Amino acid sequence: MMDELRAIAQAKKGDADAFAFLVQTYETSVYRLALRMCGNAHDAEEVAQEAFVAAWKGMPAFRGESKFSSWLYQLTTNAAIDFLRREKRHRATTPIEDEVDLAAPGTPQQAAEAAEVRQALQQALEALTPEHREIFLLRQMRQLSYEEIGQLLGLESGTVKSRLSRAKKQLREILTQKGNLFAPASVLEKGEEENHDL
Amino acid sequence: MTCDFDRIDALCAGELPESQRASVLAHMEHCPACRAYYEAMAGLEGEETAPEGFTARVMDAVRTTPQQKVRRKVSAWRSFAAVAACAVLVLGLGFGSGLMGADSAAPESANDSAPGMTRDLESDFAQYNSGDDAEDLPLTIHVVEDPALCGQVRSWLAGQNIPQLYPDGPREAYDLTAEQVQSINRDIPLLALPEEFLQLELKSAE
Repeated sequence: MMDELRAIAQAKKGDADAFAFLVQTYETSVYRLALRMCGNAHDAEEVAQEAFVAAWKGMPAFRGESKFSSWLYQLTTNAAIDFLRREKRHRATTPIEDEVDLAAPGTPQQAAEAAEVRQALQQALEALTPEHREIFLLRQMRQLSYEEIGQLLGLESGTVKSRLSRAKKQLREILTQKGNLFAPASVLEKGEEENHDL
Repeated sequence: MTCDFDRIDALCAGELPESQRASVLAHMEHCPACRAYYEAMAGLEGEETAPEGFTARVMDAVRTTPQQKVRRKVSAWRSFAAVAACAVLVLGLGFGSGLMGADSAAPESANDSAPGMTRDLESDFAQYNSGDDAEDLPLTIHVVEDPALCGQVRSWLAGQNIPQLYPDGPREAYDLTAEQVQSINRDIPLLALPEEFLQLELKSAE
């Protein structure tokens, strides 16, 4: 049974079978991240594939200075940003729910409400700049630390925090404007000062 | 508790302190706004799976994509202190052109531990390593110019019957396995090389 560290070491030396193990390990998390970045399944698959190919090409230079997963996620968001710029469509043309088989928990009404919330969130994400979306997703979806994000993106931790704070504030404002959230102004304003003591 | 989306973010990320968890959950029971926000954030991960055959398609692309050749660097060192920090060892004596052409700024004093030169050697190596061979090389090569240490290492290599990689070329280079690195570290502790695959290069004449 191959473990991840061994697979990384072998893939660095050009072992494609070892790299296949890494693809299988991370395909879901990379695909979901690409999906949140791009907003539709077709683009997400293309971006996820680009990210894995970029990882394969870059494996010999991967030094383990960050976790492999963190590096891979950054390659994914980077591929997505490149894709969105290339295609000049920062907003997805197809709502995610039209293409993706979402789980439908509970009653049909609950499922419909959940789908509505997810759709609102995806639309809110797409209203962010790709760079803000990247930081938001790396932090909130993939739980990378400020330091990891800063290292991967070449930013100071403080810059990461301030950009994340702006992204969250904007996201909450969009959700509120769309009627998916109602929150007192004080809550929205708080988005500007990231809660660092958590 | 009042509405606090940051705490909900932390809850979703599994980073909310246990002491605050109960109050946040209790607040959400009667606050539609926070509950809606929580549901949105908790749903961020989603339940989608990669399309069927995704890995196979990725691997089809991978198998026709060459890996990048690593960009190798050389650092020129003149001091023993600097040598101790080297990851890959290149012993250099008197190469005034080519690789060492840029090392005139290297520290002369044994008290200087800063590297004298770090430069990309990809083009320099191209003439010796072409095609797939180059991809097997280590990432970084450091140059050591101390004559005494060069002699010690050369003797050690001869004693171990470690062959030169390019016997007919101007680079006197040796690949060292992790075991050989451990061994040379024991015999020449001053080197203190990291225990990994290394390439050793001697640039000096006997």
